[in-house]
Amino acid sequence: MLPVGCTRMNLSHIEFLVEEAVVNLRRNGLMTLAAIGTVALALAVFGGFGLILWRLERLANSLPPKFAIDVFLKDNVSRQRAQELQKQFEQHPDIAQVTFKPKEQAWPEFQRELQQEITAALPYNPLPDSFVIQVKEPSRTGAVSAWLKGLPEVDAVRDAKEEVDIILSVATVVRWIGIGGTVLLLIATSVIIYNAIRLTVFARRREIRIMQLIGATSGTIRTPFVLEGVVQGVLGAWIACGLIFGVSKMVSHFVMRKLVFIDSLGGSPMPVWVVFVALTLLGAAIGGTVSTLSVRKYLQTV
Amino acid sequence: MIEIQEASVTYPNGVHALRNVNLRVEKGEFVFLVGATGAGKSTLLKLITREVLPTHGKVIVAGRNVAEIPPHEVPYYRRMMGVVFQDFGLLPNKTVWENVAFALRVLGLPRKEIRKRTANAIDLVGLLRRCDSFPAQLSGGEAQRVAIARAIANDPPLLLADEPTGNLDPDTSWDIMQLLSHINIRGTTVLVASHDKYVIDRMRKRVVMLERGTIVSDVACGVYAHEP
Repeated sequence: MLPVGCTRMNLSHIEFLVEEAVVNLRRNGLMTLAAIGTVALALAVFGGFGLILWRLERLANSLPPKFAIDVFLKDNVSRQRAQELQKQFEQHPDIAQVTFKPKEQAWPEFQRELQQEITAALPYNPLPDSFVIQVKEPSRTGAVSAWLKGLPEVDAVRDAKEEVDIILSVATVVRWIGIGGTVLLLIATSVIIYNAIRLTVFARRREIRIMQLIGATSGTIRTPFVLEGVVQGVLGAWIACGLIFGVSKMVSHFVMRKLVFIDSLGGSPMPVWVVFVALTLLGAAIGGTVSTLSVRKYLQTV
Repeated sequence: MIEIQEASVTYPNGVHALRNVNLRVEKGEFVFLVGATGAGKSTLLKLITREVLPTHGKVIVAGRNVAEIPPHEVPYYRRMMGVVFQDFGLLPNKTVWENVAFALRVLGLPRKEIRKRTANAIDLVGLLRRCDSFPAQLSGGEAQRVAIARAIANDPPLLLADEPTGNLDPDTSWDIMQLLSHINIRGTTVLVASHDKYVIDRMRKRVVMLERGTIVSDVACGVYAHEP
């Protein structure tokens, strides 16, 4: 006698589930709007926070490369030996860039920086040949300059290790605050969205019981709810993107006028589509997950 | 069709809803379950829908021990019965047509079949002209007719009704009972929980009386027994 009706997932059944979700979203308009609004606000706060952190991190990371290591060679080192050294430096795993600065080039620069009269009195060029070295990782500055100091051809090394260290520790703190804050905000965002969507499910718990008595499988009952959750999450995410871009436009316009230097330090702004895609995926994932969790409670059978 | 053997139900809060109930319902029967509120009528119906499992004893429906049906098969088990509630249980966001069709759509029937059966069921309860109305726009009697149409759309062998006339006036109640009787004559086994004395006395059907969780009388062609 049982089962009555077929169970396979045919096209018309999928169509039915999608149609259910769309009709429910439309006819439960107010509940849907409330849920979407909550998702939008929660994701806007989350995304805005992420964007600010990203800017700060970029700012911190853009500073250390300005501090290069100057390496001064001893007077008796030949140009040929200097070229060999350059090759050796370029092969070092921590070194990003090596620029050779011959004494003939360094001298006029030095003269320009100092008073012409003082340097003019000197009968010869007192400056040594030197290298300007950029390290790949700012944190490796100390190690690289120590290694350079140990070379027999090297007379002196000048680095900005202390300044780099301060900036790096600030960057580390910012990063950890960022990760911690992001995790906390993500949890808070999920809980808020969970509550909003749980309310829409709660309002329809009788429907769920009726569907169960009609003989709908758990999957058939759940799927429209999950689709609705995903749609609410995605629409909320899009509104959140709009809010974030609107506000950041206004803020950066204001900041540009007042603090012109910020932008010159801040690096390139985060690409718009990264925020858009990330928030959309996040909204869909949270919406789908919390709907599944919300419905599960009412789907339990004895 | 239905065999309940020594079934007892104790709810988690300690309430003994049913004690040692024995009941046998043959295929094609029409049975009234009567008794005061709290006598155990609804619990007995829930044993059959498998919303409640017996604490002791056995419930066998269509040859199958209900307690042994695994949860994932319960939806398929329920497709052999239609259920009608006192408060109609219509989905408020769906029209009359959609409510009836819904029961068929969740089964994954082909579109053409759904259209045909929905039209038949709504026609049987005489509401074809209200197809596009929403439940809130219907009278109580009409809403109950829609619920019955939905319950029988799939042509289940068993129809369960829990106080189907509880919210209706006597004339409408009588019409609804006539409709259930008509469905019974077509071959469906019908179980109706009710305390609508006026209707029950006129129907002259089998009456099973419950009192504080036990069956106190079971009379064919009965009337609503007098309170002892």
